[in-house]
Amino acid sequence: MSGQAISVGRLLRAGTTAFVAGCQVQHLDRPYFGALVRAPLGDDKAVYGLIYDLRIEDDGLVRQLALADTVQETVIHDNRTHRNVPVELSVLTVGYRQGERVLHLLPPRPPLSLDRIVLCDEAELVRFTASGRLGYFRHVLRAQGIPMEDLLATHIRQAQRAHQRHPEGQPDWGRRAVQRLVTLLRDDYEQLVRVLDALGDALPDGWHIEEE
Amino acid sequence: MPVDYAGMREQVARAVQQQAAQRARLDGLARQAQALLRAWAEGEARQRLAERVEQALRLQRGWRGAQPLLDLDEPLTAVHPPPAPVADWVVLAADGSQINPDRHAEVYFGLINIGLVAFGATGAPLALVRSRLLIGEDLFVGAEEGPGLGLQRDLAERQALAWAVAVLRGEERIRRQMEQAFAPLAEASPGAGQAEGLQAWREAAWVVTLTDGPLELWGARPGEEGAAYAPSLQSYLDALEQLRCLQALPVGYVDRPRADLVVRMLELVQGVAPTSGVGPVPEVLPGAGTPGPDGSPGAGAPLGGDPARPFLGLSDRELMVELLRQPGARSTLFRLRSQALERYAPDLAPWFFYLNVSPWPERPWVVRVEVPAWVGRDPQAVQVVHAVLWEQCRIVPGRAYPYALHRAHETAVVTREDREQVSRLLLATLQQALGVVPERSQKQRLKDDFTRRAR
Repeated sequence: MSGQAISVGRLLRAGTTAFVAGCQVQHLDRPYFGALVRAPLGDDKAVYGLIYDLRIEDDGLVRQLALADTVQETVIHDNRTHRNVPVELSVLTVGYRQGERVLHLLPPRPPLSLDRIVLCDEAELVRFTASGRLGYFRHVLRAQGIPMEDLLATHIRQAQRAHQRHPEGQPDWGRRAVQRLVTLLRDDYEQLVRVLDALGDALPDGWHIEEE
Repeated sequence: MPVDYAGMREQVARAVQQQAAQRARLDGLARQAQALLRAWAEGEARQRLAERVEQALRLQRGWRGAQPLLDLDEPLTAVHPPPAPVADWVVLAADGSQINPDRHAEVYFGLINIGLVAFGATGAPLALVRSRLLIGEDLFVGAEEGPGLGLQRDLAERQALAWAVAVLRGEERIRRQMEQAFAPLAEASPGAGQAEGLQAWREAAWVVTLTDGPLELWGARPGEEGAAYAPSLQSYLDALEQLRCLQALPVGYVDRPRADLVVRMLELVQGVAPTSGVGPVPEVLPGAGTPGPDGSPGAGAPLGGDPARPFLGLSDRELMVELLRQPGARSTLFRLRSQALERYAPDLAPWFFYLNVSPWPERPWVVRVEVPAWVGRDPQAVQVVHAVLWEQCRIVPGRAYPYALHRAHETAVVTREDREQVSRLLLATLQQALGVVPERSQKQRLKDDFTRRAR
């Protein structure tokens, strides 16, 4: 589907609605909050998700080292490279692909351990977000314990930029996305205000997003 | 049935009372021993002390203790402050872990896991793991079942270090020799870490190798060893000799040492004036270090009741703690003597010093550091060992233990889960290949039933 897929890690554990991948510290510049990622489901299927949390766990040794006035570079390098404490990426499932068809439903099964998780490029982001009727927003709105407002705002900003730049993008996608959110949250005014507030921070200059 | 906690309370109370009395006694003994150390520290007294050690070795079976090094021009009470940091060094630390065979499990197998890490003054650190599965004939040495994997693990640690230094120095002959001795060194998968990164330190001026525990390959007493010990010892001495050829500095690090090596030495002159001639070495009663009349190991004489062991119960650590108050200070070097060590070539025999690795003057923490004689004879090498260990022990705040050794341990450790994984792998393969379905013993199955119920 995409040309050059950027791997962000491998699957650690998964369920139907979410999964967690492990990422090496030296590759931490690849995944980012709100990014759309893809994991294989075998054959011609894949599951899509939005990264909603990046977590760096500590352990007893790291906690002790953190108390030092100075920590040698070799010790920092050792802890980041060799110790078995990967960065964990938490991903919210938002849909899946079967053949060429994108569905904003939960997948038939989760991905498997050690499956490689890849970052979706602009073409894939445009394709996923333009499919259907933005039904995948309900997965985000339903999820508990995630920074939902910031996730939606960041995702909409990234998707809007992709739609602006890609030849197959829909320039009005961002407006349709916000209208859809207003519809979905019409009975939850407080939540809607928070989402719109976050969108205001994500799109301070309106719908035209400058290159970063 | 749980522990008799109610009954234990009285035992604990009695034990604590005994400990308090014992503590007071040991404090007194420590002061006496320290005075004795000062009295015999220099000149002719020091020489006579060395001669009494030779007598003890000849006359007392099983005697083990320290001996002054007469070539060192310093008193026994010498204290060396922490040296300045050393540039251009690399530390290679190795630790081993194991799965011991369980005759109650489905499959009778063992595993030795060696973790090896490399840290330099500069350059990216390295971590390697090498695993060896032992099954069937691998668990036997000659016609006997091996003495437990501890001996093989200790040997593998040293072989791994000799191998790593050989890779670092580009010495192919020694590298291949060690790979023949411990095959996993060459057979590891890419995920276990590749050794070529060690060559980044090829030009390092100082290569220090570090293992946890005494430098001596620990085995049974002479005469009590099984068939496995002698060949293992020879292999170990070969590895040590290779490290010498490679100009490495092997170090055995003993945290919280309980030994009384220097104390035993001082007991030989308790009650003897330093200026007197060399008199008869005190007799040592059975049960205080030598086997009993029936050949059984000595059980230890009652504390405070053995005139031949006036300092029984006092450890070297307690003796040295007042001397080594300064953080980072080390004692003079001593030679470790025992009949078992007579099998070591003079250059390979262990020498040792005590080192305070605590950064706080009010809370000294004394460890024992062992080096082979060829390192001990080189003052600059000893200074490098001292400096590197002092630096390593200050990397993790509040944890005065060499960082590299801790990392080697982390890299090597085999958990219960690892054991179960290996066991499952073996079971699945046996079933597939041979159609065999091994079972646990009846004893183990009942234990497992009980464990499940208890949860």
